[in-house]
Amino acid sequence: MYKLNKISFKKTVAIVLVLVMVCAASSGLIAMATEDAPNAWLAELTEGENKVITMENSSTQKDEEWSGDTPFSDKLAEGMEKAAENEKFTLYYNPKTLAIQVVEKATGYVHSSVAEDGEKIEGLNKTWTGMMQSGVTLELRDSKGKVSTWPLTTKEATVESTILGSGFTATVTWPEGVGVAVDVKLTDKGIDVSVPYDGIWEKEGCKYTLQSIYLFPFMDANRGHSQNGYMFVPDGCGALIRTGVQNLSTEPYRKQVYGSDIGLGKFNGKVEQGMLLPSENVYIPVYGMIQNIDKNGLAAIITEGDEYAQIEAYASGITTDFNFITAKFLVREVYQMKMSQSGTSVSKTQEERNKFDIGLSYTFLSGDDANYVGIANAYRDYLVEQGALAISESKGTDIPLKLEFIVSEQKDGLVGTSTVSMTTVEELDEILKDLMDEGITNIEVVLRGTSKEGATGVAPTVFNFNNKTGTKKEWTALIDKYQAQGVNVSFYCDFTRGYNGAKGYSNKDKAQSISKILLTTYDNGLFTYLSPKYTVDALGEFADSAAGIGVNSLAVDCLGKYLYSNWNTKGLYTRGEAKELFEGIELKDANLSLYTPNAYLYGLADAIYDMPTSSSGYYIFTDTVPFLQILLKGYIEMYGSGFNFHANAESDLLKCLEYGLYPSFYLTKEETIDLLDTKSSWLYTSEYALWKDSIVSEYAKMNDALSKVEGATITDHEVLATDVVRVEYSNGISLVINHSDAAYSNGKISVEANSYLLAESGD
Amino acid sequence: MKGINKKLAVVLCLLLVAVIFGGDTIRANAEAPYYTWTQGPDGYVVHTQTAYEPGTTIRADLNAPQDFFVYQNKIYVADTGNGRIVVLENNEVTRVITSDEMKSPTGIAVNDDYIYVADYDNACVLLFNHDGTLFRRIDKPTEKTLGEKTKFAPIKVGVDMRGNIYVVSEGSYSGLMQISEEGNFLGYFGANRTNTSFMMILQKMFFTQEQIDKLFKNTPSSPANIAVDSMGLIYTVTQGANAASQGQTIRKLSISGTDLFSTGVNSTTFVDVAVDKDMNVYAIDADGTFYEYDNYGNLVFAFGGKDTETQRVGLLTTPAAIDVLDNGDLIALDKNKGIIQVYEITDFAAAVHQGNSLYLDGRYEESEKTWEYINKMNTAFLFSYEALGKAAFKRQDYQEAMDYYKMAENVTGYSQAFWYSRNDWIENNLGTVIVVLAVIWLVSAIVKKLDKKKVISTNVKKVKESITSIKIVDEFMIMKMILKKPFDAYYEIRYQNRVGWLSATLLYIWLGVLQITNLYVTSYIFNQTNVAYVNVVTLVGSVLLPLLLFVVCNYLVSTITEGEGKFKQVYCGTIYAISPYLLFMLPLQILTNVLTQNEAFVYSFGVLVLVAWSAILLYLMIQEIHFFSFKGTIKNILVTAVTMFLLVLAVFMLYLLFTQLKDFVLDIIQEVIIRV
Repeated sequence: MYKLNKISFKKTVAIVLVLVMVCAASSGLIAMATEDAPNAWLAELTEGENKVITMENSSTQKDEEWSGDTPFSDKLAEGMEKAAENEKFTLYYNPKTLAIQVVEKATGYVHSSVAEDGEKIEGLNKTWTGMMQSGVTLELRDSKGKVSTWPLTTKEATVESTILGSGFTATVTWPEGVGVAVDVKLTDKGIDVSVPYDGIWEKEGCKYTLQSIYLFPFMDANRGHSQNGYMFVPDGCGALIRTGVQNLSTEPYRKQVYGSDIGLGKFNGKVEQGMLLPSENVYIPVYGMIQNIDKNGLAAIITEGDEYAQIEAYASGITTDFNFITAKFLVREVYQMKMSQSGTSVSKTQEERNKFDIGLSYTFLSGDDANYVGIANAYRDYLVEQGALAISESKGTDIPLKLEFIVSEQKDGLVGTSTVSMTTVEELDEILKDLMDEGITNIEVVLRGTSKEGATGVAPTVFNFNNKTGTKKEWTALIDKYQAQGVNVSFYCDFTRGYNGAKGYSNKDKAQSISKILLTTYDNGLFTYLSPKYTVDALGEFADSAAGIGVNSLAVDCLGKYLYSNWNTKGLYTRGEAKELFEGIELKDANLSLYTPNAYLYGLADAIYDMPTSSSGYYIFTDTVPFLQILLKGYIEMYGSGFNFHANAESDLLKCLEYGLYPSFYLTKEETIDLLDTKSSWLYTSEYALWKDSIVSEYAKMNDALSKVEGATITDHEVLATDVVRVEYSNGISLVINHSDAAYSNGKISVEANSYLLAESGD
Repeated sequence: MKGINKKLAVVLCLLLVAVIFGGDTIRANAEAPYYTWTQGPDGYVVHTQTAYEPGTTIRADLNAPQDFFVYQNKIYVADTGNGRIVVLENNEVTRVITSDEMKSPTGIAVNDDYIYVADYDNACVLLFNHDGTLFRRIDKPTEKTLGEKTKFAPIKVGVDMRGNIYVVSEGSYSGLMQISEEGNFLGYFGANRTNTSFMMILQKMFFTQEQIDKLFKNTPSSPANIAVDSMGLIYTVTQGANAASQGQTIRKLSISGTDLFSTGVNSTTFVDVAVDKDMNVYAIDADGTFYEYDNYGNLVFAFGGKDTETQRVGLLTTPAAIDVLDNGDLIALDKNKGIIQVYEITDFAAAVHQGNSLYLDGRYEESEKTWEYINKMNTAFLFSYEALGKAAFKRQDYQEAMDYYKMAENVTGYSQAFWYSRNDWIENNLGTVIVVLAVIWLVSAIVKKLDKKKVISTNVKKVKESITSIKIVDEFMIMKMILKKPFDAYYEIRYQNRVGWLSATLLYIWLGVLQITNLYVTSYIFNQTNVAYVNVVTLVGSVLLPLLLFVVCNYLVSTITEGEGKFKQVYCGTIYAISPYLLFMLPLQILTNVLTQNEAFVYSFGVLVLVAWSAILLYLMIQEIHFFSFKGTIKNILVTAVTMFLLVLAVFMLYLLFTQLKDFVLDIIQEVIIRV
């Protein structure tokens, strides 16, 4: 009763306040109105008032000339103790709060997990202040389902720490019975932070369940628009959030690395309905904070527990005044348990903790490395060190052209189904010959639907051929003939989604969600997601069968972009186990091309198809950067999405040049309209006769530019002027691409509108 | 049929996405967060290349703006929450107009003379000079014709070439208020129609006035927004299912107030509409979906969507207004976000506009190249076939025109092209046909003459007799008798057991087969069913099941009401009774292949005759088989019909019960799984 009164009292006060404010405002207005001209007037436009913010974040912006000062942080916070030192850095930490600071010896610059010092920080409430000051912050869920934030400083946790070798180790225990042991080590690049699985404990009978952990969330954060820097977000091909300008967004960026777990029922409803394109994934477990462009910055690599990490970025003005980016580690996730056929559900949290270690590695960047290219370099070094990436040998001087053919598809007839033949083996022979006569010799052919089930009736364990489009013998002969001429032929396959009615899998191979519901899309399910174990086994089996007819290349869809847990008791897999399983795939002599894979499969991929070329375009982003391309060019072959679907042929081609992507087309011999009433009707244009001229001319354009940088890696990506970009390669050649409608010239080089130029570096 | 099909498309579009596009998704190179759709074949919408890519996002200091107007590439925004007009030019605020007469501008329109503002809170329309001074305030007009009780609550405003002001007044069911520049009420304009059902008429007859007032608010929906094109035509959008069922969601009103716009693809929540110089119509609904139509109301593009939990460029939370810029780019206003979003037209969409524009001017052959390009980009782009068909028709390439028109689902066009093509055929082959006919006649005459001893004809006769002596053929021969002497035929069926189970069953099967041949044999002009969407069981079942149900019910009813027929007789009699249909339907179907729409009556009349004939024979069958009087037969037929209805109802109830039971059991299983 008392409580109720209190609330209504508050409400009354609020209403009265609002009323007073409204009255004041309106009387002010009236006063203004009567003071000035009686009829109407033009408001004087004063400086700063009526400011218009415009934003276009689909391309990379030019780094602004910074007129303000560049703050140089060189102060150590109060209570810091020295923990370790090496040639480059000194690590300090606060034994009470576990806040850390690292001094770069060469410059004296201080990287800090506490952006500002003091008991109270302006613009932050108690919890946020606690989060900034604490090294470790937990999110706990009470029995009623309410999740609250527990920084170690504000919730009276006890901290025991010892300095050990090259860093320190600390044990934090919250009075409610949850504890975390964290290790911080100084390396020659920066620092490594880790929390092993066993380093987290929960007392039995604890009222709370541990949901997630933040470690040093405000590392290298800064306030307001005082610094000319940006946060790097690994969304899609890469995005930036510039800190020097006012941000348009009112929502922070939050996205789980490698996408949400559909095994926990986390489907995107709107996308399922087919209206909106799915937003981009986070393909790589990397983020960065550039405090001052080309001066100071930080690259953060999530080395362990990446599949349970969620990237969060806040720009100044969203909730707080600070710009900060961090990873939140999901120890448990809340999900909706379906209770009845009619769809009622309850919110529950996972019972078991997700089994993973946390590993977070900071690389400090300075000088020319303090930008997104530097972050890419840092991550690439890490991947090379791990053995996941190696320089790829250039296959030739010409760039490859990917042609994806629909061979056949099944169509429902009045009775049963019939085969729709789209490209027979003879027709493919003619098309390839025709293109080779045009001088295109480096061709990657991907075949969809050579089997009796057509292009969508995957039957992974049955390796057969539809005699209407070509027998096994005919295909073998064709493949032999063209592989001898350097044309690589591969089969398209998908072992992750099983189409309804397709053969080759049984009920036990179907994945189930944590509510024991089949993972299907659209209510009645066009296809169902399969268990990770099945995916891997079927891939191995298929690779063996394909090798039997001389094909050792497979184009595998979905494997690289879906990572989910499977709760089917006949094949339980957590997300972490699934990732481990995929990483461990070993195929003898088989080349795998993967469609938009996540980072953990880079080691497996010989080529990447459908390379992302955009970010999700959230308001919070200010730029899109070709981060993945900078990271991988010269290491893994990358192909753009089908050129058939380009709505702006010219400018989309220039974008592929900037991003270093090889051309690709979807083709059929027959008219595409034949596919209309089949499951492949997503393909709305593909007829070779219509597309031949475009293929020849667009390939020639791409080849002229990109063949000059074959085998080279990208060393720099610089915006010279709005819509004019210079991409520098390791062989000394630069591509200058002008996306704008006006010619560009800077005295040394000039590029026509909507065109590109090859330049020597130094020009 | 076509219309229904298209309307279904809207409702079903979301559901059918799965069927049509579930297979895979295309990763477009574009930055757009949405798919772009266009009108595809069979009333479906299909994916296509991005038509508009989200461009610049503009945020000025706006508070819940509700409308804007583009005039000479300047954007005049009704900044409702701040009670002012903001003018944006090249992404800069170049002017702010305020006035103490202006409180909450919700609608705005601009022409060379004035800036017209609808002020909702002040219930007036304000006219500003271009220098920003207030020219006139128009309050509620005093004319009696407006209606004394009528509320004057302007929410949107439009102005035509003659300077007449059109006011969208909140809750005004009589249409737009047309007001002169001086503020005189000229009359209501373009009221939406209402929907009156038979039930409503009945209720109105019996209910008291009070009850009627309470029950029906059968008033037409009032429009939500307005646009005026360069020809002075007025466009309105109206929300609600009622408006959708009347085809009034978008209206294009001529000076006399007639609606010139009809489209099959609709939204029930349109908030604004805009028109470009080529009469393409753009509308946006509350879900943030953009619809672009051509002059004829064909859906050109649909794209966009609602921004729910994330803030993605190009998606909107509360769309308030849409307009089109001179370069073809679209701009949209988001009320809650307070932003203006630019959507840049792509090369592909620009080509479509060019093609439409040429087509509109009647330059079909000139437009052919453009449409071929569009057709290359998307082979399912329905309107490209229409345009290419028209071009081929102009080139007198009728065969090609027929192919295109068939794809375009333009039956009339197809029929016209076929008429010409048939003419050509007759012209080219008339001689041959005459010669062939002459030869046949000559040969038969010679044979007759030579066959004086009747060797051949007796042999033919013998063969004929040996065939008809086969039991089943003999049974079929009774069909001939049914056509000529039905009473005799029924007598033989009833008393001489002339027909058997087998032949009757074969005829039932034949009836089913006729439904299938109807799909394949009947020409496109008379049957446009797409075989891919036909379920053979439903197709055949929809004819056979009612007939068999009739047989069963008729037998049951007749046994109680002293009918004398046995089940076998009812079973056989029924199918034999519809002999005219069984015999002549296939020839009629074949005949359609040489008919055009001009001769459509031949087919429809033929079908009518066959059905009527069969019905009469069926009636006679009941009378004869059961030995009923005239009255008794009628009574029997009516009771049979009621029985059929009750039987269907019973089956339906059982089905419902079983699904409930199934759900219940599944719920228990689910519960057990969760608890255990």
